[in-house]
Amino acid sequence: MVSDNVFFTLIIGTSIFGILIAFIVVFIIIYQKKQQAFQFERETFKKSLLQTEIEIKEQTLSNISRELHDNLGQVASLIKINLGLIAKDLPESESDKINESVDLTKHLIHNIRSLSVSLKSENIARFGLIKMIEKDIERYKSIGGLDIDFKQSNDMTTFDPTKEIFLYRMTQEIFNNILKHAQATKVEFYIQKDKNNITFIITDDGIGFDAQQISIGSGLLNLKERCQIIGAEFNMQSKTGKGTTINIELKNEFES
Amino acid sequence: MSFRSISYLSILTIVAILSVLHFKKLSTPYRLLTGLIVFNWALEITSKILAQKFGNSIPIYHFVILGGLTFNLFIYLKIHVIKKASFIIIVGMTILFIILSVLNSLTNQTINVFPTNGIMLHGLQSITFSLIVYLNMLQYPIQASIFKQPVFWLNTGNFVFYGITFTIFALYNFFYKSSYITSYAHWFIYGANLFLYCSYLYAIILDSKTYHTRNGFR
Repeated sequence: MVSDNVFFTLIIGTSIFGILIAFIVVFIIIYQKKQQAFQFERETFKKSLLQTEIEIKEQTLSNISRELHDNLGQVASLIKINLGLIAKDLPESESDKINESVDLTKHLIHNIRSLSVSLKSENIARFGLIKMIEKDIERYKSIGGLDIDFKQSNDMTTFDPTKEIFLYRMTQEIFNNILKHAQATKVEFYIQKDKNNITFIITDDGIGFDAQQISIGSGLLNLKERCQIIGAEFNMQSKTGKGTTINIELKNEFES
Repeated sequence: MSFRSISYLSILTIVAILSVLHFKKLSTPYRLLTGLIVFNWALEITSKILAQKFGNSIPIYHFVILGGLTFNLFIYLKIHVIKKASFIIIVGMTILFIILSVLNSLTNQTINVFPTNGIMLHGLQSITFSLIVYLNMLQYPIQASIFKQPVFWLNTGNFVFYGITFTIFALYNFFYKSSYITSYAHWFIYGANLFLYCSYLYAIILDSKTYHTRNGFR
């Protein structure tokens, strides 16, 4: 009787213990699945939020571009015409300053136009990504005193227009960072474009930084997030005093 | 005192000391948990003294149950996102079980009888609360690994320990037909107790690590 009881109790005890453990194991598995689903939802939400934010930003930039072109550009043109008229009425010795102002105004109009072009994302479809980048590089050279060595493969493959806008804005962000923080004198920018991939490699000889110390909300983290949205790979190498290299690689799903 | 009693008391003392040392860095539910641990430690020590002096420590366990039921109520009300229905279950169940435990101590298993019924009620309360929190965790998952969440360890410790004690005390009369089985059951409770206090301690350590995050320093 006693041995029967012992056996019975052992069975019951072990079964209950087994059930408790099994319950916890099942709970952990279900919880981890829920966690993954929750994480996926969060990521999707974050992406759509960022996408909306970028669309709003693009719209704002487009409005500013139109304002620059239609308003400021026109006013600058009128100033140039008026200065030209004033210069005609003045003796040659006194018109030098006016002519100098006309030249400055021409330069101003050129800068306004090129800025207006770079702000308007529709121009990427009109002129192409590479052409737009080339225009920007000219502008960076003139305002930043940078020696920019720009090379690109001559492949004319087109990519998803939205992704091209992202790539273009990312390039602008990178160059803004170089101009503002890097204290660089020379930049090498290489775009390799073929049917399957587009790769941007931007290397500067600036002061560099500790890649571990990037603060939340910085432009570099924004770049990373933008890359995630378009499915591009983002790599950055930097060391204090040894410049920075940024590598962005995007697979072309548009062509295939 | 047996090896089992000494080792159990030693572990309980270590857990109580470490919990008190972490007290300042703990959030409210884990401060209450520290209170429960210290309460249990104090009553266990008192029960050993009473057992040595008077040969009877059973009355202490009637108070252990009441203290446990009350602490559990406040811990679980503070520990996780609690819906209104869960709140009603937690409060209602605790009030009912406290009344039943007092009635049991006064009329059925009086002060000098080991309160197995009260322990079962305490077990039932802890298991129900654990299941409610498990369900809440599934409804509101967070990003952190489950093994790094203090609530998981507190809940799992309670679920395993009270799952085992509830079953053992539900079959209490049956067990006592055989001294071998009684010994087996005691070892089982001893193991579950160690697991419970280790889980509590781990939950407290994990919670104290989130102190800076909670206070906005990180």
